[in-house]
Amino acid sequence: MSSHREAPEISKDPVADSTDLYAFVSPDQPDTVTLIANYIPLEEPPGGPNFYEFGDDVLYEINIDTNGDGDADISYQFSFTTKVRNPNTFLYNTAPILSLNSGSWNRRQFYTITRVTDAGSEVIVRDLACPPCNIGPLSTPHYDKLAAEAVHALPGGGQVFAGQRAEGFYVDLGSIFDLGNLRPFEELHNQFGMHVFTQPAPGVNDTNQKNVHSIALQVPTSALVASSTTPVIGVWTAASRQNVRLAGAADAQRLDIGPWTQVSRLGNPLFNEVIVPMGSKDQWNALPPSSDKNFASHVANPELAALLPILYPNVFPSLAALVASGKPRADLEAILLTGIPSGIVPGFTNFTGTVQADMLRLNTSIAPSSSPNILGVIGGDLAGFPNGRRVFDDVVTIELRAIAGLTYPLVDSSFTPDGAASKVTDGLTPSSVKAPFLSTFPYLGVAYDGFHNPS
Amino acid sequence: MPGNDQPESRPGRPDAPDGSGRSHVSRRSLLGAAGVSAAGLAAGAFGGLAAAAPAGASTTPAARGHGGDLRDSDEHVVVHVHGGRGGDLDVFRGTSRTRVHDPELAARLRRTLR
Repeated sequence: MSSHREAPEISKDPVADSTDLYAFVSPDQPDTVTLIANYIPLEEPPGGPNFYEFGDDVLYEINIDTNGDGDADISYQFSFTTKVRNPNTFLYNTAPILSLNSGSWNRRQFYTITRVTDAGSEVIVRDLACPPCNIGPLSTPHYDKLAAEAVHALPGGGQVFAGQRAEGFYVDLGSIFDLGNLRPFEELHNQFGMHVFTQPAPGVNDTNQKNVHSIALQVPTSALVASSTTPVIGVWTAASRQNVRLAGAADAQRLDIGPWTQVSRLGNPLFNEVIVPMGSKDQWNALPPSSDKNFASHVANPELAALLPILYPNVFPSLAALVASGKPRADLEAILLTGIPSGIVPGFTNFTGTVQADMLRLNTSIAPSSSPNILGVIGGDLAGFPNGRRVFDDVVTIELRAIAGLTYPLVDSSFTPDGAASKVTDGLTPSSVKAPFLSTFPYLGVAYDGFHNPS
Repeated sequence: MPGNDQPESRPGRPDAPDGSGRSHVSRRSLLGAAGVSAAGLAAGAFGGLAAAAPAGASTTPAARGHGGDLRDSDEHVVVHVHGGRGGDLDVFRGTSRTRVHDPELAARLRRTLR
């Protein structure tokens, strides 16, 4: 998955598990940037009676690097507080929830946003209301309205939403994690000699009809860039917990104490998931992007690039030769660690300098596309991934093709990619997501309700 | 000789509301903590922590986010005695952590476990 359950430790801590990060120039407000950080993977909509919520004991951050050093120059911190109206009932709600201040909604959540820069920290807003989870036609009969009420204007411009949304990341988990199988090409898989598949099959979106918890922030571009002449920003999200947790403390069920310690991080989709080896994934989650030179060798020689020719015999001969040559994948290093310098892709750059850091790099001076291509830059659409990431971008296919060698000619014009490199995919598109993406903030679809989903 | 190291301070955290930039944990209070904590590793809600800190006993701040004063007896304090015989302890309060190097104190805390 993009970053769902991507490391051993964080897979056991879903409330702090960052699953996806998006950063794009807002298509309907092009003088603003939208940043969305998703948490809590694979929420089953019927998951009551204790429905999903952010962690009151987790510090969530969206970080922005404005000068290319891989450290945060601007951080938006989100801290949550849960308020229970009546602790003497087991019910989440005792009647239909018709507004965010409904007296029948028993377990509400609020949040405070703090903006931190080198100049200090400033609480921007306090006690903003989250929406409830989407339960069903009796409990949340007008959920669209409730979700819309939870979009709050920010002082100084922009808006914010924190709460449940429909999962927008589409991926064929069940196939990919079955030894790298891709259903559209499964007859070409070596199948370890078992001859299970004889013909291609359509992809299956395993995240369909599942929810996530989103922190969506839309702010004026001028609030994120150092100056108009340095329009590229690096973005990552992080979640932290306090150092010490005492279970069963004398006067509390649980006590959290000590400095905040980062337990989850996400910049580019799939970085920790498929680039960083298992023994380093937890460590990677605890570090800032400025430490990523320590992981650069895994980008320069990705394990998956070596596996593809083995799993799909005779399909990737050029890739196999490239891997055998031992040449570092400078194309992937640029895409994931430094940004793409000018002069590589006509009319485009999101280069931030030579510091190798996994960040989602967005050139804010590139206008939104009026006819987006879900393959982003490799599809000729400079407003899409890896120039930031939009909610509908097909990052699985883009990264599969890049690793398969499609982007290597950007750094070595003598290299001819395999024909399969421009075709490989898990076979999904935005239409594989049941809840449609929105054209306005917060862009991710309305959360699925637990009465009708899964169906 | 007891000593103290630099506190852990994570950039980007809000400053302590009291703005003091100081914590109030003393060697004496740690000894008190040892007496209260059955395990010798953690203590909570014990009084008297605001007693004057002996010179060179400990500490440093880093509390950015939660401030407060240990004269407030509701404040929890957790002490982590490191393994080995080095005599290092970490004292946690609010969102701060203070490293203390005090082999004698570490030994006394361990003796409470016997």
